[in-house]
Order: sequence, then C-alpha cells, then structure tokens
Amino acid sequence: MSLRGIASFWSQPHGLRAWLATHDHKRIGMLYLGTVLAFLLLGGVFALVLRLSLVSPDNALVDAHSYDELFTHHGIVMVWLFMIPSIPSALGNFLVPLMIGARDVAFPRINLASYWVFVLGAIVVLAALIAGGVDTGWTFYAPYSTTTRTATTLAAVGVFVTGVSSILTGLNFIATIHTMRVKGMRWRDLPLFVWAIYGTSIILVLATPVLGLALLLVGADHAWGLGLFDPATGGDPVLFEHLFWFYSHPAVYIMILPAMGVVSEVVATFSHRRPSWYGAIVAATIGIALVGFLTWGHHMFVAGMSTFDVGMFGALSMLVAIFSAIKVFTWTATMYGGSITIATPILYVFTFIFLFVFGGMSGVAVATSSLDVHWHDTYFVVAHFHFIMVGGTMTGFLAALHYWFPKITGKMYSEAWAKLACAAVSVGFVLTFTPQFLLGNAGMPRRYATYPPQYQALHIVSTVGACLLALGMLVTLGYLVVAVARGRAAGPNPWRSRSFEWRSPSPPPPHNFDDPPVWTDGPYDYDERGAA
Amino acid sequence: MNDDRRYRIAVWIVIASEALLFAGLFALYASYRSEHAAAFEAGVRADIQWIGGVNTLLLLASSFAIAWAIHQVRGGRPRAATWSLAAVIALGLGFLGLKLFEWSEHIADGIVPGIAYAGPDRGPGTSLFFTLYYGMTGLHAVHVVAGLLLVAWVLVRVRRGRIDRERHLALELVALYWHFVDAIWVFLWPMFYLMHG
Repeated sequence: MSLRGIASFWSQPHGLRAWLATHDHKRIGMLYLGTVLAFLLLGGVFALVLRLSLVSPDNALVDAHSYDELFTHHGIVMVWLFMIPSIPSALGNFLVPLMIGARDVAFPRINLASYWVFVLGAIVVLAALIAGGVDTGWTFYAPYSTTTRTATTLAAVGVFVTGVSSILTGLNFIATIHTMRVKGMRWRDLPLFVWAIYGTSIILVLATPVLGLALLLVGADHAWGLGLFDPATGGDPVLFEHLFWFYSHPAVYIMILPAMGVVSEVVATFSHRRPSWYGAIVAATIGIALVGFLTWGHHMFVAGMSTFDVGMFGALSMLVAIFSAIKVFTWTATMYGGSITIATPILYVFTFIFLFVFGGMSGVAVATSSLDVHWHDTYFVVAHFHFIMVGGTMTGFLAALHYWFPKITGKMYSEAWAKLACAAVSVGFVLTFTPQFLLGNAGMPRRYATYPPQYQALHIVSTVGACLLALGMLVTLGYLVVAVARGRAAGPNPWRSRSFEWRSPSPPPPHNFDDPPVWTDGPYDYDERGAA
Repeated sequence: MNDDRRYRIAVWIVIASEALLFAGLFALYASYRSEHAAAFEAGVRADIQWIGGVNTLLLLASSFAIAWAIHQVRGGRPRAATWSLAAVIALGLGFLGLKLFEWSEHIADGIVPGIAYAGPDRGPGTSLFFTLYYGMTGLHAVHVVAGLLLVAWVLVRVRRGRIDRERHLALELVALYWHFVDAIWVFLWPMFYLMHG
C-alpha cells in the first residue's frame, strides 16, 4: 500500500497485532469502517435479491418462506450492523477527537472493547441467519417471534450484544466531549458534527438498554416458552411493540443525527461560510434527540391505542418535523450567498436535502393518524422510511466518506468518477423508492412475496432503480480503492476548511497533532480569514 | 481532575443506562398489574414475606457499610475500611443466599416462570406475575453479583494501599453503583412482597 513511508496512523505502530489490539481511535474507526462496509454489501445483496424476486407478480425467484427470511435479514443487517454504527462508530471515532483537538477518546480501551463486542454480536447475528434464518421481520413482533421455528433467540442475543457495543461507544463520546476538549474550546465552539454525535450518544445510552431488554425477553420467551406477550396467559403483544419502538424510533435519530452533523460540516466548508444560526442547529439537534424519545407510539396507531394517545404521539412526531425543518432552513441559508464549491461531498448533501425534505413531509403525512390508517403496513411506509432514514443515512455517510477521504488517507479520488457515481446513487435511490410511494398508496402491502399483476410496472421501475443504485455503490467502492492505491496526494487541507481536524497532517500521525493544539479561532471562522 | 471527571461521567452514564434497562421491566409490571390486579395481589401473598424483609435489611446495611468504608478511607484507616468492605460482601452474599433459598422453595411448589407454571392457579395473569418475579429479581441478582465483584476488587486495592486518603475515586464510584443496585431493590421489595391489597 502506497501509504507506507509516511509516519501516519496507518503504518505506526507496525503489524497486524498492533492493528487488532489498537487503542488508537483512528484505527478503531477504520476497523469499524471496514466492518460496516462489509455489512452494507451483505445487506445490499439481500435487497437486490428481494427486488429481483419482485419483478414478476408470482415471484418465480424465491418461495414465500425464503422471501420472509430475506427481508428480515436485509433489515437486521442494514439497521444494526450497518446504519447504527456507520457514521458514529466508524467516522465519529475517527473524527471527534481530531475535531476537539484531543489525543484520543476518554476511554481508549473501552473503545477497543466496543469494537470487538460489536464483532462478537455481528458473528452471533450471522450465525442465526445461517443456522435457520429469521422470518419475523427486523421488528421481532411477538407473539409470532416467540413461536416461529426460526433462530429468533440467537438473532435477539446477537442484536443485544451489538447494543452493548453501542452503549460503550455512546458513553465514550459523551465522556470525551465533556472532558477532552482542547483548552479554550467552549461548548458553543463545538463543531456541529460533534454536537450531532453528542445528541446521538444520549440516545445510544438511554434507548439501547430498553431494546436490549425487549429482545432478551423475546429471546427467552422463544427459548423457554414464557408466554410473556401471549394473550393465552393474559399477556399483551402490544406491550412488546411499545418496548421495541421505545428504542427503535429513537434509533432512527441515531442514524439521521450524525448524517445531519455531516451535512452541517460539508455545507459550511463548501460554502466557505459560517453556518447561519449555529445556536438553532444545536438546539434542533438536542431537541430531536430528546423529543425523539416521545414519539414511538406513532408506529402503533392501528394496534389499539386511545384517540388521545394517538393525537399526542402524532403531535409530538410533528414537533420533530419542525426541528428538522429548522435544520434544512439553516443549511440553505448558509449556502445562500456563500461561494459554493461544487464537489462530490456537497452533491451528496443536495441529494440528502432532497430525500430528507420529501421523506420528512411524507413523515408528517404518516404521523397524521387518519391518513396513517390507509398507509399503515403498505409500501408507502417502506418508501417513507427508506427516503428519510436510509436515504438520509446513506447520503450522509457517502458525503462524509468523500469529504474526509483525503483526511483519512491523504489521497484524492477521481472527482469525475465520483460525480458519476453520485448521480447513479441519487437517481437510483429516487427511482427505487418513488414507485413504492405510489404502490403503497394504491394498496400494495409490505412484506408480501407475491402481488396482483396491476402493480408489476411500478415494481419493475423500482427494481431498475435498485440496480442503478447498486451499480453506483460498486463504482464508488472501485474508485475509492483505486484512490487508496494510486491516488494523487491530497495535501493536508484540500477543501480549505477551518475546522480543527484539518489542522493536523493528512493522514494524521498516531498522536493526532504534530504540535500540541492551541485553540485560536472557531471551526467556522471563514469571514475573518476570507478563506474563500 | 479531568481524569476524575471522566470516570464520574462514565459511571453515571452506566447507571442511567441500567435504570432504563430496569424501566422496561417496571413498565411491563405496571401494565400487567393494572390488567390482572387480583392475580398480582395473590402472587405477592405467595412470596415469602420474611425473606423480602430480611433481604431489604441486608442490602440497606450493606449500603451503610460501604459508605462507612469511604469514611474510614478518608480518615486514613485502611484496616477499618477493609473490614467494612468485607461486611458489604458478607451482607451481599447473605442476600443472594436467601434469594436462592426462596427460589428453590418456589420451584419445589411448582412455581416456575412461563407456561410451565404448575403452582396454585390464582387466576389469569398468575404466570405473568411469576415470570416478572423471576425476571426482575433475577436481573437484580445478576447486578448484585457484579456489584460484589467490584467491591471485592476495591477491597483488594484498599489492602494493597492503592486506594488511600488521597486516591479513593474507585471506591466512591463502586459505592455509587452499589447504592444504585440497592435502590432498585427498594422498589422491587414492595412490588413483590408488600403490595398485596
């Protein structure tokens, strides 16, 4: 590898053992990055098989049971093994200490433990998928999940273990941001990405244990026949749904808040401008993190809930939309009047904003209980959450990957290929999920292996979109690998950002900063310096 | 100073996270109790009252003992602190012993968690009560075991002089965790031994 010879964290200290037992937050971030990319590939393969099997109404490709397993595996792998750790654990680990001028995270050994605990959990999940599979959907709804013959218990235990890893990561970020900031950096000087990771960490440490508990109960129920959610013993299946969504709704913000943090950074850097209304972005970040805990009931509007509760959960969900809208307005306000450099990271941000606005507005629509009755459990909901949570996380992740690629590797990728791939990913994504809004509105229920022939045309368009999306992702992987091997040197700060992480060499040395960092000016001080 | 702060933050986060772990079970208990009040009251009556009471005394005494150990360490009396910590471990083991005895009594009566429940039927929801009883006291017992291991660790450090007048953060934080485990029990006690209508 051509990164040899530079005294960077890649080569120092040397050897495989030094990598696998590293306490360096940058290396742990890279271990996470490699791992989550592998799971992105795996989850993507599941998605492609699903889409290909839906090309014909009678599903010639897979039988109904395999179809159930495929969408379950797609969901479990994508949610818990890719999206949850994608930005926080991989890029957050790499960036947060650099952005606050720290030598490392507060607890480097716990950080390493969190990675290996994650790997352990992922192995258990994969074992469950291989040994019998899971057919409950990623939501593990009782009572079916406690009676199915598939490997629910093993999968639940695996996800529980990855949850422990999430909590350790969140704990580390909170302690790091509180205690490791460079002397002179106040809370209101924190880069917005760091704020986003802080909000995410609050959710990680407070919501994950409830999911862990719910999954342990379902796993134990499945293994030993507890009947805890079984109406035959007086149990209530809806209570499981409450426990599950108490985590899994905030989990949406675990995925989207870090992506929003990426967008804030990329917008400021490529507009060469201080973010408009920094305080509002911070308030909206923390607001989403907190109000996100009070909206879980909107997943159960048709599961039996009083009209008062439905109204409250609906209204609280719309409050999140207000915070989200504040963010979109501040981003556009930052870009307005800035001198924008058009490059791949900000192109992904444009896609993010497009998907986020449409996904968000359809979110307000499904939070309206009368409309939700019509759309519940249809492709409309599938399209909604793929737009906002998957599209948001994925474009945020790709924007981050391209923005910080020169920071991480010291190399520059091919901008032409990157723009081409960005176009394929963006168009592919919209093409995949826009037909699904229409399918759902026309009554196509989710999780069905077969469908009446009148839905076929839209399904074919969706599959074409998915193939384009997959192509874009493969091309991305290709040129990034080529760039690592043969890319031109990027220099320490190719985007001329004012943010702290760019003040160290790229790629950074093992100890992060050559000289002890000194806090002089903020991460967005463009105006005074006229960096543009 | 910075070092102190990050450890304090970490332990408080662990406690908050654990509190949410138990909160899910508390929510289940509250929901099911409101649906099956009679079965839950009968279930509480079936638990062995004196064990619940004595166990509460044991844990409260152990919380006092660990606070006493901090006081002794601050006063520069490591021997007294060691004895206090040994008392914490003895009281905790006593708690676990009584808990195991109660479980074995229940199991002998056919009172087991889940649909295998073969004890006296006290109406719909009886098996739910006992599933929660085993689940919640069991999860709590796991935390008692973890707490005792931590207490044993600080005991060794006090004996070796690694925890003394100036450096006693580890002891304080273990005590904080131990108080939390104790506080959880203070809620479990009425839920499984006292609220019988």
